Amino acid sequence: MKLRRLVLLLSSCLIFAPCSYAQTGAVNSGAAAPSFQGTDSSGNAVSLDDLKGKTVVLEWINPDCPYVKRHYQEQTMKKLDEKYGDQIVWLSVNSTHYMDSAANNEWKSEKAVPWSIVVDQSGDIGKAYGAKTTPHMFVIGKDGSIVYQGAIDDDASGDKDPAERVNYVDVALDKYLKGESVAVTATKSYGCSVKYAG
Amino acid sequence: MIAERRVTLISLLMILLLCSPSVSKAQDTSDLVVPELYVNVKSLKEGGIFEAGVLFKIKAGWHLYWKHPGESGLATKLDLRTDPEGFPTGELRWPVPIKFTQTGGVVGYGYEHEVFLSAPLTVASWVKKGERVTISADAVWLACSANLCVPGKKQVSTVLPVRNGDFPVNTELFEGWAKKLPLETDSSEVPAKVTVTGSLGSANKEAFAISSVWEGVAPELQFIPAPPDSLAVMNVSMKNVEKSSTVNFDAAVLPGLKLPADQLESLLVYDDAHGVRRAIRVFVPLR
Repeated sequence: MKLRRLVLLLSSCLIFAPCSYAQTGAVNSGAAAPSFQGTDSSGNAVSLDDLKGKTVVLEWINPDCPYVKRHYQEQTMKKLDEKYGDQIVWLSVNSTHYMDSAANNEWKSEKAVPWSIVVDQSGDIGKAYGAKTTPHMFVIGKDGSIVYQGAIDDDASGDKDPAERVNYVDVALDKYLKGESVAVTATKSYGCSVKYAG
Repeated sequence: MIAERRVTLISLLMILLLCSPSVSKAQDTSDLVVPELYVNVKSLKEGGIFEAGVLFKIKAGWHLYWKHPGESGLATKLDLRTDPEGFPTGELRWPVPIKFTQTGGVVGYGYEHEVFLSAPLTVASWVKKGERVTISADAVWLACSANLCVPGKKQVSTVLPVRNGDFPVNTELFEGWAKKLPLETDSSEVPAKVTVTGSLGSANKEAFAISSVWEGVAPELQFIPAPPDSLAVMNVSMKNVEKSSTVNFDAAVLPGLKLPADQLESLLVYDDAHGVRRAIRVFVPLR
């Protein structure tokens, strides 16, 4: 089923390029995070439903995007993952249409990324979440609802002194895991636009 | 196994057919954006007002972003500096941007082919005849194509003498680009009367309307808001009835965040009688 849909989408892209795809399923914070089943770059199945009861961080990536490059140089995501350790499950999602499993795996090894990268070339998962940029972050609570979505921090241009930056994901995780209320549940994400197929 | 191979083959086909050469990592990106500094006078005069700007030449298939880039991208940044320092410098002027929709429906605002960003400066009072002034511009940008984004930066500068008079130069360039700037609502060139209603008051979400009454039949409008990061603008709808046009939208402060200013800057974009893309800059008071 999925393959046929992919072929149909691709065929229409070839005829009517550039393709436009109506944005669907941007979900409000507080509502249930869209369920998904995907495959990571090592070929393992990844299902959000299997992670119910855990706090999940979804990070939209594109290794070719200068914003993602900067954050991986600065180790922003890795430091967060290390800070919260077993309290969270970190998943990268790559909806870049031209990056297949092999390309994702190559980058994963190069950057020594310790978590799974879900390969979403069709963009189905990205569109279900309304992922617009790389990076675009989603924190999903143990009950499966969206605790926070949006920018990784308040410093799109990377000009601020790192000590002055507000890392929205860090703040949300800190509050949520302590059982305190999260004040900022949504911000506008920044980065390169997600390179969907259409 | 076979399904996987088919997917890989289709992916390869897609890559070949849809991807421009810009996807290759080994691409030479040095000529994607070329900034050039221009000043509208050949020499400065004591206390004189002049203009300096940078013309960004953008490679075909790529774009730069407006001061509010939309849902992705990075606003082009230009810092004009002088040596000696202390020249009062006016607001950077942004020509009317185009709206583009990137893959996945991600909206952006910006420029293709070329854009000229400029500002007026005043010669500082302590700068005297016979001195030389360096005018420099630090430009930072993000150039994106359909498939790739490449950041860039460059400093460009020039030196001008301070003489008895300032002699106009590059007049066509400055005047040509001045015509591409948005008009203020009180400008005599604006062929419409604009009024704004709505207020956040103490609430954090409200409905707003920008009404305009035109000299002739109201043209098709494009509404381009430039909201701060803490303000979401949504549910935009437009209606034209003869000479009147109304743009309705909702604005909401994102929970936990603060508004940096009490007004929302926006553009009402239209094609004038000659088919030229123009805009009216409308400031919507929020509270």
